[in-house]
Amino acid sequence: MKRKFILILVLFLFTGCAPLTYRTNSAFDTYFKEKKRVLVLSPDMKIYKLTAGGVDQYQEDWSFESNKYMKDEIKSELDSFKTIDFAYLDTNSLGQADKQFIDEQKSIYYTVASSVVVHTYEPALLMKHKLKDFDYTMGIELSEIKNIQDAEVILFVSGRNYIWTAGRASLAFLSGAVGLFTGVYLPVPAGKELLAASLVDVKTGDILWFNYLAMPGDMRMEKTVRRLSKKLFRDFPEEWRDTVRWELRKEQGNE
Amino acid sequence: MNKVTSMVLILFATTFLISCASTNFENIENISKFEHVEDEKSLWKEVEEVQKKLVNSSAIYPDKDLQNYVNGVLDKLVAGNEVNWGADIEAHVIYNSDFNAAMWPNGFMIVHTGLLAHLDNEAQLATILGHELTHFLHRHSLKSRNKLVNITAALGTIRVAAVGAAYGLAYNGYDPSGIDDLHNAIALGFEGAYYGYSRATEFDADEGGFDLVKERGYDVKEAKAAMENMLVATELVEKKGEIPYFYSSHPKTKLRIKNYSKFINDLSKDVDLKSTISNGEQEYMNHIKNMLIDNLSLDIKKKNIKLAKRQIERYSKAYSDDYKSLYYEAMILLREDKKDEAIEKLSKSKQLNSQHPDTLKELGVLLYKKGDKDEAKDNFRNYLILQPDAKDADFIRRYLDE
Repeated sequence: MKRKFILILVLFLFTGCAPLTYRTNSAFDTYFKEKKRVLVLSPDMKIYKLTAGGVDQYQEDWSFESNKYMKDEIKSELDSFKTIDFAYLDTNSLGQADKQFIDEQKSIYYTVASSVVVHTYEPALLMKHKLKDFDYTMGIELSEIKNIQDAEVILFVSGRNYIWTAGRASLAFLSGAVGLFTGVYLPVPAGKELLAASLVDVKTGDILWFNYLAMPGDMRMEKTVRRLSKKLFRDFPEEWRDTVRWELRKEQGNE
Repeated sequence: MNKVTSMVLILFATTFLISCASTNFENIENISKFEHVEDEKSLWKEVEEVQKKLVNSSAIYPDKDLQNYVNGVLDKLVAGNEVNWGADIEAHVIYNSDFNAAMWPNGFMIVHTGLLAHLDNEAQLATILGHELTHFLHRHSLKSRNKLVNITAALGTIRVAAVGAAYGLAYNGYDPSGIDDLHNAIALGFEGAYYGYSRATEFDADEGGFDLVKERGYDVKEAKAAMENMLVATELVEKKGEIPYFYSSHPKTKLRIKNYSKFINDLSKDVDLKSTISNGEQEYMNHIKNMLIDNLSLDIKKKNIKLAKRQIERYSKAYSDDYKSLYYEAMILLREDKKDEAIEKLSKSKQLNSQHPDTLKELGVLLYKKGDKDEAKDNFRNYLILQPDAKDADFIRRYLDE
């Protein structure tokens, strides 16, 4: 019994570990040889309450807090790229139509990101050719963002969190206990959680770089968000950092 | 019952109880100062995102005049109370021939052209709007959502308990197979309870809507007439699987007509039913003129010919025939394979307006099939002058060059 319990615990821990490997498309290697203007959109964090029966309820206050934390953390992470000037888009200053366009692009990004996760990360549904030839796109409509702010690359960050109610936690505990006694375990699934970040080419809408964290944890907490953003941008391609730095130094006449 | 069993039962009961969400909220019209109840703000915010997309989409019927008129009638029902309700109550007309209207939790209302096309007057429109407004005032969306939360929580708890119970029975030498049947029966019961609740909210909205129509001075008999109109229209739907029943989640229209009869009878015992304001038939018909034609074109596309015919008849009765109505009459005749009559209607349409490209094209096609090629070519040439970039322009040009 003890051995069985340890095995289950180990399996549980492993499934909770997120792969930190990022994905890049074929254009990525040469794409950043020239300096690019990168526009950072405010993150799209949505936090839901997940009830005992599996009904998800969007939580405005929690999402607001999470967005605020993530926005600050992204800025602090990107500030460490001393040689790159990221531009941040302040959607509050935009008109209704522009705001809606940005919201639509964020929705499209989330849909594409979900598909990337399913087909290039989840072992059961992995499409090897997609992994080999990573060719995801948001479509050329993204280029219209130039009417709002000039940029060549957009940084998207999208997160979904499903916080269990006490009822769901209690049901999961009971289900586990019943499973332990009877050998029949009825799963109480978590929501489809994710935290993803991408660099997207404005002209084509192609995803150049994609990183993803599964089961990110409670993204209502500032501490968690800080930890996650560090993880997310730890995988920011080193080559890119160096290339851009070199390009900038050359421009400044130091090379 | 031994101690372990009691403890397990208490655990299951606790799980269910802490999973419960309240469905008992004060109606908005009874609150002096509006405040969101738990989870309501988030629910509003969630639908607002969809609302923004919908308002700027092509789903909205592009007729500002009709939009303003519908909102004017809604304003009469709201009677300036909006400020106390914490919401912008606004109706939007959706270009869709299904018989439908809906109220979102935050006071955003949608009314389909398909529903408006089968009403006779402002009083009937007020009945529909009043019904939907009551959904908002009685917080039906939030209550229904929480009801769903409770039912799914109960089902989840029972599902796990059933496994434990079956194991317990088997352990003690009893046959556990009955547990599965019992679980299924309970699940079915809960499902029935949810639909029953949904039905109850519809009746509640009918009653609230009826009261609003009465209070604003409309003829209350028109509330029942609105439902009767819906019944007639519903019976004409040929593709029943494709067009939802009037308010697809609503109780059967016949039952609702019966309810409205009861409301009227109960009221007639106490008060004089005479209306204090006009039913606004003429005004209503003036505002829906263009929409009626556009909506029936959708029904023709969906092959709901009987329904389209009803709208053409209403159109011809309310307004004199015009080139558009004659064109669509011809389209209906064509569906019935009455080509000569269709040519006649299209020719009349052309006499009234020789600049309507669709009339010219259809006339060209029919005359070509009939063998009257010179006349057909004349119509095609005029069509191309008006629509040089039409999708079929090259095809027609090739024919003319032959």
